[in-house]
Amino acid sequence: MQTSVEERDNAVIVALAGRFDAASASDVKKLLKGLIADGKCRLVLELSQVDFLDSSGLGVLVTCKRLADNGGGDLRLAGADSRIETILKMTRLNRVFEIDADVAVAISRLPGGKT
Amino acid sequence: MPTAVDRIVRSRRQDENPGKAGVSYGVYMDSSRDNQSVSLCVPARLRYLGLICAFVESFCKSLDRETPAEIVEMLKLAIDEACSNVVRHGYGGDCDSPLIVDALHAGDELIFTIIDRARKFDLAKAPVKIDPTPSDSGYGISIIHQAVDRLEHEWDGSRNITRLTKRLPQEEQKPG
Repeated sequence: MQTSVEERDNAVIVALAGRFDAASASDVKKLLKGLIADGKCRLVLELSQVDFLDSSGLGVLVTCKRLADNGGGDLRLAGADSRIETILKMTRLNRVFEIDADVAVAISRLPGGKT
Repeated sequence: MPTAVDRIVRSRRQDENPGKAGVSYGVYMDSSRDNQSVSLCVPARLRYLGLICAFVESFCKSLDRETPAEIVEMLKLAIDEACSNVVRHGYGGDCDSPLIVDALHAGDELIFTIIDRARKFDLAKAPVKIDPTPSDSGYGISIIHQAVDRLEHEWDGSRNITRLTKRLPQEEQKPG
C-alpha cells in the first residue's frame, strides 16, 4: 500500500492507495498514531485509490478515529468508492464514518483545533 | 484470451515449485473432476492476501458464464477475511506452512474451500461482532456470513477445511 501525507488548511491529509488489508494495516496504524501523537488530530483519509478494505483496515480506522477524537480532532474519510461504503454498512460502521465526497468537503467538516 | 490464472498455471506448475518444508506452492487444476476447479497454494503469509483475491477474481472471470461484479467483490472480501484469520489466529502469524484455496464452479454455485494445517478452529466459538458499539476487531466472521450464502467448517484430524459457498443468479435465457 502506498501512503502520502500532506498538510493543508490546518489539517493533515493522508492519501492511501492499494489494498488496506491485514498485510498493510499495521503500517497505516503506525503512521496515523504517529501523527496523532505529534498533536495532528485533524485528519482526513483520502481513499479514492484504495481498491480493497477488510476488517483489519476497519480496525485501524476505528482505533485512530477514537484517538483523534480524544485529541480534540477527528478522522474523516474522503473519496471512498461504493465497495468501501458497502463494508462500512455490513459492519454498521457507516453510523460512525461518514464518507465525504472529497478532501475539501472533509476538511470543512473537521472540528476546530490544532493540527 | 488467457486469464491470469491460466498464465500462472503455465508458469508455476505445482511440481516445478517445491516450497519449504516439502510444501509445493503454486496453482494447479484438477482435471479429474467434472466441474471447473482450480487451486492455489501459498505460504501462510499476509502479503499473499492480494494474490489470493486476484486468484478469486481471475477464477470468476474464467468461468463460461458471467459472474456479477458485486458477487466477485463479496467473494474476495469473504475469502480475504477467512485467509487472514487462518494466518493471524490459526498459525499465529506469518509462516511458510501451506494455505490452500480451492475454487470450484458447480451448477449455480461457486464453492471456495480453504485448507490449512493450523491449530483446530472452532467456528461456533469464533467471535462474531453483533453489538453496535464500534470496535477495532471482531468483524471478520460477521462479514463472511453476510458475504456468502453458506459457511461451513470441519476438522479432519490434521487440517481445517473451511467452505464458503455463493449462489450465482439465474442466467438469462438467450433467445433462440
